[in-house]
Amino acid sequence: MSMINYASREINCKIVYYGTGLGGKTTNLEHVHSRVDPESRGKMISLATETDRTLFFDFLPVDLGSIRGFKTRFHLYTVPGQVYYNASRKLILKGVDGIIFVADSQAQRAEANIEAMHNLFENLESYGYDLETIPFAIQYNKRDLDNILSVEELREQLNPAGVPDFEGVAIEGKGVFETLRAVSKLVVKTLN
Amino acid sequence: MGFLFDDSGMVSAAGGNPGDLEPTSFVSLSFAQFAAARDLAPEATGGELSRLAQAGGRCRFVLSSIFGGRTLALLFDDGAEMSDDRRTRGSTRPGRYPDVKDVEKAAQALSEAGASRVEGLGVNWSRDAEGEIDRIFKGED
Repeated sequence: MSMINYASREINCKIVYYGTGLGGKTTNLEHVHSRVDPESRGKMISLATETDRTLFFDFLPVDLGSIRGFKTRFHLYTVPGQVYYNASRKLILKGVDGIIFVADSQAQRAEANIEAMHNLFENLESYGYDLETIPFAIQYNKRDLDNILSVEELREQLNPAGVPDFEGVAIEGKGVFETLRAVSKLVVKTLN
Repeated sequence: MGFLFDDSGMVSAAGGNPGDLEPTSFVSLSFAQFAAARDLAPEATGGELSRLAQAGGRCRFVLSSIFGGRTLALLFDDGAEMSDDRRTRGSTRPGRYPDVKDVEKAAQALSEAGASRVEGLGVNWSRDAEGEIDRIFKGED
């Protein structure tokens, strides 16, 4: 939940990239880090294994500056997608303000996408959070690869509620900011 | 330096000079470290500590759970001079450090001013924030 610190007049919002392993969550964050003005962002922290799999989380703070007297900051996190890191995923979801689900468009990853989506719902439910009230968007990533499902098929599997969704090729930066802008705006709308 | 963070990893109050350290990133790591270790602390300390203190190579890092579900994190530079009254049998006595006083003041201000969920910042705030989002996240898609 977004927190306001009236003493220091700061607002901090937490956005979490969720999804199956190797789906492109870290790639999204790396692209944001590479393109956002260094004066508006902090260092990107990645805790990764030797094979570059996310071990615990990636983290990138982005400063929106002072908005009507309140210093406003977005904290962008990814979760580790590997099944056995569920405790980490659950922990990182605590206090979440917005979620971007990064789906792997490849047909062979369909089951993993669905499993990750179920896992997201379960972990949110454990905190008493309701995804219908949390700003949420889906990115269908890896649209440049062969053997991908159509957007219609992905929507049917992952987006029955019709939340904002976007096609992406995160490794080329396509769809990355479009998705992030959408969720960020939904988050700030919850604050007015 | 010292700071307080809440149970979702957000900074509530801070004090002291961060130097080259980036407080936001550091707090996030602190939160992760603390959360990962919290279940181990009672076992490791025989129930003496509910949470964990962490010692690094050059600096020491102390975490302690305090009021309102918040966590106090203190980073000590071991290169700094340290008088005996700051230690008890080799342990650090955080209350002797000036930075702790700063955090105490900040925490007091926080307590007086209140820290709660954001409510009703208004349409103008939201509109301005959306403008900043467009400016900062303007990368080409």
